[in-house]
Amino acid sequence: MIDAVIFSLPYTNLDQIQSGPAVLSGILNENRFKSKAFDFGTELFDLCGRDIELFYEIQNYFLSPVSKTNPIIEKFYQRIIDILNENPARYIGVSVFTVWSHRSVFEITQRIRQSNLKSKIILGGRGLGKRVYIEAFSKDTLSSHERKMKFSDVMRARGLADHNVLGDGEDSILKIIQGNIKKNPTGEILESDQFRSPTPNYENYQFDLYLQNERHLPITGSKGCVRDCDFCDIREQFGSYRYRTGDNIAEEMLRLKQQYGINKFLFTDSLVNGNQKELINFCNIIADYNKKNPTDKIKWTGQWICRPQRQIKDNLYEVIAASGGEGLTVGMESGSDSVLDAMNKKTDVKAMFDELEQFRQHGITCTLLTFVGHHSETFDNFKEHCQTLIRILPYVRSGTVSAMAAGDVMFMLDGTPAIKNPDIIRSEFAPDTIWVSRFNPTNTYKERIARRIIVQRIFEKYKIPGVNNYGNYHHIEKTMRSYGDQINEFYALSY
Amino acid sequence: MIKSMNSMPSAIDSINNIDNFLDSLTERQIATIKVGLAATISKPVEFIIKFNGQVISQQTLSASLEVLNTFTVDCNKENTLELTLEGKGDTHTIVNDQGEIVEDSFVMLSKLEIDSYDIFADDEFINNNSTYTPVQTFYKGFWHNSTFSLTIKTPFIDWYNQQTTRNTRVVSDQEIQGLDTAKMNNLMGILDKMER
Repeated sequence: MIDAVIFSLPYTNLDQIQSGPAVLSGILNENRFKSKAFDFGTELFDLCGRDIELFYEIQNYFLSPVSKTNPIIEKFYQRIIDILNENPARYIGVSVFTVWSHRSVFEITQRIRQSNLKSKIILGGRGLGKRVYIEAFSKDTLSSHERKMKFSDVMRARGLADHNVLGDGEDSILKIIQGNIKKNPTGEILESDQFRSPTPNYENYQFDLYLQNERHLPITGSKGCVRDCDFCDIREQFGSYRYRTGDNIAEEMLRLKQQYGINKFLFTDSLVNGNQKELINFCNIIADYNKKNPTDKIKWTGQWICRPQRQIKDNLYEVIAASGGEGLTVGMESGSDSVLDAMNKKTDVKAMFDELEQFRQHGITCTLLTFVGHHSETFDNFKEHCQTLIRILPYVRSGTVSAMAAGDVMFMLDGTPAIKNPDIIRSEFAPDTIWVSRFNPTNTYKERIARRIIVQRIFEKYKIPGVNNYGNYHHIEKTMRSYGDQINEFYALSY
Repeated sequence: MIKSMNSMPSAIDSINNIDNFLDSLTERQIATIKVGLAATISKPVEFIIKFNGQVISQQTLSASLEVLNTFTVDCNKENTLELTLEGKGDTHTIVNDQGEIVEDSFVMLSKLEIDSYDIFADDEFINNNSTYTPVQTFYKGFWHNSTFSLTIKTPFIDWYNQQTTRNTRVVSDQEIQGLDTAKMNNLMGILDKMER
C-alpha cells in the first residue's frame, strides 16, 4: 500500500497539464512517502475516442443538472475506481481546482465510499471553499439547504471528505500524511500557505493525451496577482501576490528539463510579470543557458499583464526573447478604454498597442484573450471593441499575435469585485451567467450572445486563428437548454 | 429576423444586418503607406513614387542612404502604387576585368507597409498583385530602370485580409476561426427564442 493517490477530475481543458496533483505528489515523495499522481481529464478524453468535440460535449454533463448518467461518464468513473483499486493507498487526494469540478468530485467520492476502498479522502483546491456550483446539480441531488452551502461543507456533512484543505495544499497534505494535522477552530478545514517548489511527479501522466502543439511542463513562479480586475477572482483565491526568486525558478526549470527531457515550460502563474526584477533575473539565467546550448534551447510561456510603457524596465523585452519567452497569453479583455477602466485593468488600448509593437520588434509572439458583455459595456463600447480587433489585424498577420480568444460572455464569478457591485442583479438559477446591471439594462444575456456571435463573424471574415471556440459554444448552448424560460422571465422582471 | 425589445442600437439588431455592421468597422477611403528604401549609389539616379498616376515623391538619389517615405493618400475602389527607378545609364555600372561589379547604383526596397500591414514580408501577396517591368520577377530591389506596380483595392483591410494567407492556418482542433454553419445556425436559433 502506498501513502497517497492524488488526482484531478474534469472539467478539463486539454491544452494544459493539471500540475496540482503532480506537485503534491512531488512534495510527499521528497519527504520519503510513496505517492502517485494522475490527471483523469485525459482518461475521459481517451474514453471519448480522443474526439475533441465529443469530449467537450460530454463534459457539459459536469456543468448541467441532468440527472441521468451518461454511459461514457459511468465508464469513466468505473475506470477511476479500477485505477484506485490497482493502487491501494492510505489516502486519496482529489483536486477541486474550480467550481466546474464540483459535480465530478461529488460523484466520484460517492463511488469511492460505495466501493471496497478504505482510503481516507482529502479534498483540496481553490474551488473547494466556494459555494456549490448549483448549475451542475439537480434539485433531487442536493437539498435546498445544501444548495446554499459551501462545497466543502456539503462534502463534509455528507461524509464524502475526511479532510478539506482550502486553497493550495503543499503544506497541509504533508502534515495530514505525517499525522500532524492542525485543525482550525471549525475542526475540519485546514489551510495551507507555504510556497514549496518540489520536483513535480508526472510519472503517471499521459502526456500524449494533451492537445499541445508542443509538449511542455507546467511550472509555478508566483501566486496571486498584482492587479484586482473586477471580473477576476484571483485576488480572492490566492490572497496577496507571492513570488519565488528568479534564480530559484530557473534552477527548477533546468532540473525538470534534465529529468523529463522536455524543453518547453508553461508558467501556471496568473501573471509572469508581476515582479519584473525577478523575471529579468530568471530570464538572464535561461538566456545564458540558451546561449551556451544553441541546439537545445529552452522555451517558456505564461500569462502576462499589459502595462503602460513608462512602467517597463529597460531591457525586459530583449531578455524575454533571449530566454525563449514566447506565446505569452495577454489578458487584453476589451478594446474599449471605457470598459478597461470599469474593469480596473489599470491599462488602456494604447498601452496594448505599444506592447504589441515591442513584441513585434523583439520577435515575441502572444495570444490575446478577450471577452464581450462586461456589465459596463454599452453597444458603443462594443463597437469600439470590434474596431480594436480590426486594428490588431496587422499584428495577427505578422504572427506577433498568433491567435486570439473571442472568449465567453461575461461570467459573474463568486469572489470577484464585480459581484459586490450593488447595481448588479444576479439570477438565482444561474447567477454566473444570467445577470443584469441596473446602469446598463440593455446588456442582457441575449445581447451578450449577439455580441459574441458578431465577434465570431469578425474572426471568420478576417481569418483570425481563434482559441477554444467550441468550449464557448457548448456553454451557451447548455445554458439555454437548461434555463430558456427562466431567462426570459428574469429579464422581463428586470425591465 | 432576431428581434430586440428596446429602441437603442444593439448587437441584436446589428446581427440582422451583419454585413453592414462589419463594413462600418472598416470604412476608410484613405491609406497610410510607408516605403523604405536602401540606396547604394555611385552615380545619381531618380526614384519616383506614384499613387494612381500622381507623383507623390520624386527623389534624386546622389549618395548611398536609407530613407523611409510615409504618405497618406485618398483611395479609389482600385488603386495603383508605382515605384520607379529612372536615370540609370551605361556608365552607372562598372565591371572589372574579372567580370565583377566594382561600382553600381541600385535601390533596395527595405519596407513596404500599408495601413500597418507588413506587405514587404508577404511575398505571396506581392507576387499575386503586382507587376514589374521590364523585368518579370521582383526581388524587392531595382537594379535597372524599372517600375514595380502594386494593385491596392479598398476597403484595404477587407481586401488584403481576404488575399493573404499569413497566419490564417488552423493548427489544432482547439484553434479554429469559427463555428461551422450548423452551430452558428443553432446559436441564432437560441437567440430567436429569447425575448430580451
